[in-house]
Amino acid sequence: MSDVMAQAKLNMNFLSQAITGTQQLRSTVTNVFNLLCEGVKPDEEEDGKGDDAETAVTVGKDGKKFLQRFQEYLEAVNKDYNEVEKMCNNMTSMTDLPVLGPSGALSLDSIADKNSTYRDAVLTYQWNNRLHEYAQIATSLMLTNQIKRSQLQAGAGAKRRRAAPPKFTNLPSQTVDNTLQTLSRQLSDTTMKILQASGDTRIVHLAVGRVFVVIIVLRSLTIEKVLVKGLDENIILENNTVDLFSDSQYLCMQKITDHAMSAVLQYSTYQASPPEFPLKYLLYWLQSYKSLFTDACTVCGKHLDNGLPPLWRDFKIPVPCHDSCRA
Amino acid sequence: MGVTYICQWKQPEGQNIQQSIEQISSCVEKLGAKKAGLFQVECESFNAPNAPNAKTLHLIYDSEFPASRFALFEEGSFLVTDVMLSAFLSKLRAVWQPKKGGKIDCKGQRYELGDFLIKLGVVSVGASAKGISVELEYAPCVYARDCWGMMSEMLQSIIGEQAPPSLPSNLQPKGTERFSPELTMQQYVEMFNNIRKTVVAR
Amino acid sequence: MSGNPPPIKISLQSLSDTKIQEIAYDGRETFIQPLSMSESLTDLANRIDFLAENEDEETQTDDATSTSVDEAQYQAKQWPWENIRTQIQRSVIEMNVLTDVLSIAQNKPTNVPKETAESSDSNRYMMYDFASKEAEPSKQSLQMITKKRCLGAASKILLSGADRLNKAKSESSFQNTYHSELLKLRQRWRVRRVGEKILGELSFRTAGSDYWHMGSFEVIKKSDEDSDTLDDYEQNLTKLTPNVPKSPIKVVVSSDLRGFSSLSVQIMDLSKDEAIKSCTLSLSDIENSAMSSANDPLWHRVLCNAQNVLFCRELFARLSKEAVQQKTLGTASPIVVIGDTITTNIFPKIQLRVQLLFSKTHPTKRNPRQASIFSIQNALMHLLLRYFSKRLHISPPHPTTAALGLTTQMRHAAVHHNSLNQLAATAKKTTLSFVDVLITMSKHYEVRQRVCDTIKVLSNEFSDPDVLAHWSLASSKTESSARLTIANSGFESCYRSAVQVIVKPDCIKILQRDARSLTLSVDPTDLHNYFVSLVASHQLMTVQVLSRTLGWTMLHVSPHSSLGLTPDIKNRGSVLISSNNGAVSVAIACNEMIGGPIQYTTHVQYTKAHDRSQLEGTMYDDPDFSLESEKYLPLGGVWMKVNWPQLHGRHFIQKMETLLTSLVY
Repeated sequence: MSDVMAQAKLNMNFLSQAITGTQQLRSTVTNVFNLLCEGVKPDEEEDGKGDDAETAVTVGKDGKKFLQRFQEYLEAVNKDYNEVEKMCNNMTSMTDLPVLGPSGALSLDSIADKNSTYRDAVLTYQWNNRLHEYAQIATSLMLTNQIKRSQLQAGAGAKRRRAAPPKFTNLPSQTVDNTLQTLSRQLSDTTMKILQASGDTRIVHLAVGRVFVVIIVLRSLTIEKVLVKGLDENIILENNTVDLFSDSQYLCMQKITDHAMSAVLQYSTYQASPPEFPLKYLLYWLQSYKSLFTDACTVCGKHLDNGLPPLWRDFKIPVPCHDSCRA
Repeated sequence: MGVTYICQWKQPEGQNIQQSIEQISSCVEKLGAKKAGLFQVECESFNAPNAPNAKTLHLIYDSEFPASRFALFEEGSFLVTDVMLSAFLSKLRAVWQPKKGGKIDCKGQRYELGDFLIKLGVVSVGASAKGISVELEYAPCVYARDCWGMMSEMLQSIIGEQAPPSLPSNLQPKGTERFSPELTMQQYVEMFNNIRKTVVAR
Repeated sequence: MSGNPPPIKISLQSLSDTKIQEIAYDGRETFIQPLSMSESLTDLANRIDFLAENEDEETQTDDATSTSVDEAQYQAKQWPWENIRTQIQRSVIEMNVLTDVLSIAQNKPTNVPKETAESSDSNRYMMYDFASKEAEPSKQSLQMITKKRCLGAASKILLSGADRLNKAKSESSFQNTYHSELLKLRQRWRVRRVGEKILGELSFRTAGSDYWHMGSFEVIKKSDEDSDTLDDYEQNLTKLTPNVPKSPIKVVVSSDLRGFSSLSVQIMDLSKDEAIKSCTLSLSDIENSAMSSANDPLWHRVLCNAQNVLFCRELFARLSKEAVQQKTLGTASPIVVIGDTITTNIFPKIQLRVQLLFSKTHPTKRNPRQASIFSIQNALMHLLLRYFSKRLHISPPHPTTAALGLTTQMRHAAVHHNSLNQLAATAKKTTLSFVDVLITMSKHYEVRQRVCDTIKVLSNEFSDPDVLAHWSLASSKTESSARLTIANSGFESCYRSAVQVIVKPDCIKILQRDARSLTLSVDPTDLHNYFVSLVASHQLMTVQVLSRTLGWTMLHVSPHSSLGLTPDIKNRGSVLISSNNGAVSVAIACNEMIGGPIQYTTHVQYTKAHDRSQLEGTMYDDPDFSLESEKYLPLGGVWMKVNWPQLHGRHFIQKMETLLTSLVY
């Protein structure tokens, strides 16, 4: 503990020195400014000589004197500045570890190896600091790069055939939530819930009847990814995140995933539709799969085609049909 | 884990087991199924001579579930455990004793067709082959009633007339409940019992 | 003391000021009480030497300077009344001199300045004369020498004392900082005392590593002599930030850990023999921002650096061990491990090279042009950490008789009747293969880069339909996807093509709007060809939609029509449309040229009644398209070729609109 005190005292010393140094610097700087305020004064001794012819010479002489004094003052400033700088360099030793306060003494515990309190504390502080730092950086970055693409849409529509550019809709989060709620109420035999939401991005979990589970990644209301999985497949990874990237182990689910992605393409290229329409259409389309295992193909009348049920649903009239049976 | 249907292939007259197996597998391969390794199901039966009311206990190992062991009592209690079960049972030798000739197994080829899993096996007691089993599993669906249409269609094309005309009762224990391996094991035990009976009858 | 006449003082009694005996610390003064009259009398009486001869008070004063003042003072010590006597004597002398001066001044007033006056008449004159001529100089020098000597001695004592004080002070402060530094070191690193020594450990063992290197270091208290000398390595360390605080602690790490190390991962294009992408991985890079600051003492830097060396080596050791064990992992050539380098060709002509760099000097700043592959950097780091934590956090067996080291999922696998596929999937997820991850990631990276480049080339090459790529935000280390939208500017509502490009490590999967999916190889020409045909079919589709909205009738569409003997055309799509009254037919062919852009050829056929004055100059007879021979007779009449550059419009579709609208009225 006495070390700490000594350290603190030393630091205080440095501090007071630095303060005096700074004051000194300020006074010398003030001198300089005073001098400059007074400007070039004719010398008192030569005041008596009011010779007109010699005024130019005297001014030159005065100027020289003035410059000399100015230089002296500046040198003084420089000296003091160097002094202060030196002080500043001395004043560093306290800030290198997170300020743990009295808990820093935990490290002295002889059974620290068994008991990781100190380590945890240090780690916590570090993470906290980092979090803080990153958050600050992130905020500053976000402030500089605001996405305002929606403004572009204002200019469009002047021409008859010109459609709105592809939508990166910047909808408020509340609207998106409301839309999702409304949609989930409209669906039958299908339950929808939001698994994760971070900012604009949501991961929606959709259970279609007794057939499969769909994971939809939404950014605002734009559909980024659709993944179809069997009912008994794992969608949550060990670290409690949603598994977005491992394909289903069932062939039919993989194919439906592909079809669903195509459906997204199809529905999102529809013209002049409100932003929630692609999602709405997709949900209705997915809902038509609730009879995947029960219904036979409407074209050939059979259940199976090469070991697969009628996987295809048309985007306009979603009736069951084999991949190979569709026109 | 999908819906599984198991049945015994009744050989036509004048065909031995080898011929029948070849016939069915060529049929399966014609459908477009790919070979996907071998499979094995073993069943060992135990009884408890000291307890008068005790039912027979079947201990089943299925290569489809390599980490698990299934224990099935005759009247229906069902247990899923890890591989230590057989060691545990041997500790309980005083209570549960292995039945004489109670060991029966089923080995054969495994086929994959789309999401279907087709297993053709030879059932044998000891060293002698007794019969042929056909197993059909549809993995993506877990409700037997939903996918029965598809399964029966597939069965039609594999075993023809021997396919059941409607959803067998042993595939839907309590109406709409999810399918579980318990049903698979029950079917196996039933089939094994049937084969034993027919062998005895001969 | 000088020759100047002393000031005139005739006071005979000293001032009765009380003397100060001492001044206390609080500033209070203690006085010596003055003697009372009787006391002073006895005191004075005691001092009288009655034996001594009673000298006459009066001394000869004819000559002003007969007796020296010094002598008088000397005598004063012997006789109590001396002081008074001297004063009186002095005043007498003064008086005498004064009278002399007055008399001279009175008798002979002159112009000459008084001081240097010299009265020449009657022997009476006045001059200066020093009181004592011989004795003074010698005495002064002697005094100076003695003073000097005394001062010298005193200063010597003072100096030695100050020196000793200084030493003691510095000693204590040094000791102090040593301990506080040790305390700081203890806060950051693991140290323990072994006998006389203080040993520490910087390996990752406590984090779960099983690398063979112990990574121990020793903490040494710096002696005074070597406190300022840094060896080359330390100088290198402090080069970037010169003002490292001095510290009384020195750490000694084994010599193989003294250096700068990093792991470089490069994807090389062998055909051009240059690195496409590279990244160097070192712990210090990652930790730099968060952990260290410019004020870190030298020992911390030495230890951090050593730890970094250890980290890089461990990572490389794992990689090379796995690389040796599994020779190929879907790579174009086997993995070769030579010395500190692992190389393999992930694709033909594309090499992945992992290198362990180690140098004693500070590495130069890497080339900023080569953007680093942050994801690979991150993933390798992550993998190692996961490996560590997996080793460290073994979930307890449950039940207690079960085998150790199983995860919860593995324990539940049996009871939850996991099937073969499920078990295989979990096993695949839980095994961490560093090489595998590295290779898949770099493959995916390379493929993605190719897709990006192709899209870029495509949008540059075709100015006509706009190609717009939207990269999905849902992407992982091994999968990413992009949505391509193709549309003609001004005609977006007519038709829009959209495809989803899913980039995987080994293939590129393309999903079309009509729900057909294609799997392309990673060869960029494949992708380019596909994109070109996509653009061509898009143009044809737009023409169809456009003609329908303008009231034309579709006669024939063929995305792949016969080419005949035209070697420079890869594919030709054609559309045949006719106006609703059947007067005009237009045939459009869309040719994908080998190694070039898409060419459009259009032919128009009229009935004779049709007025063609509107389009004068935009059409000409096609010499190649002679209808002389009989086999072309069923085509029904003369076909004119449209001169595209002559038509009004910015791009193909706009020109088409002009053509179609001007043909119908």
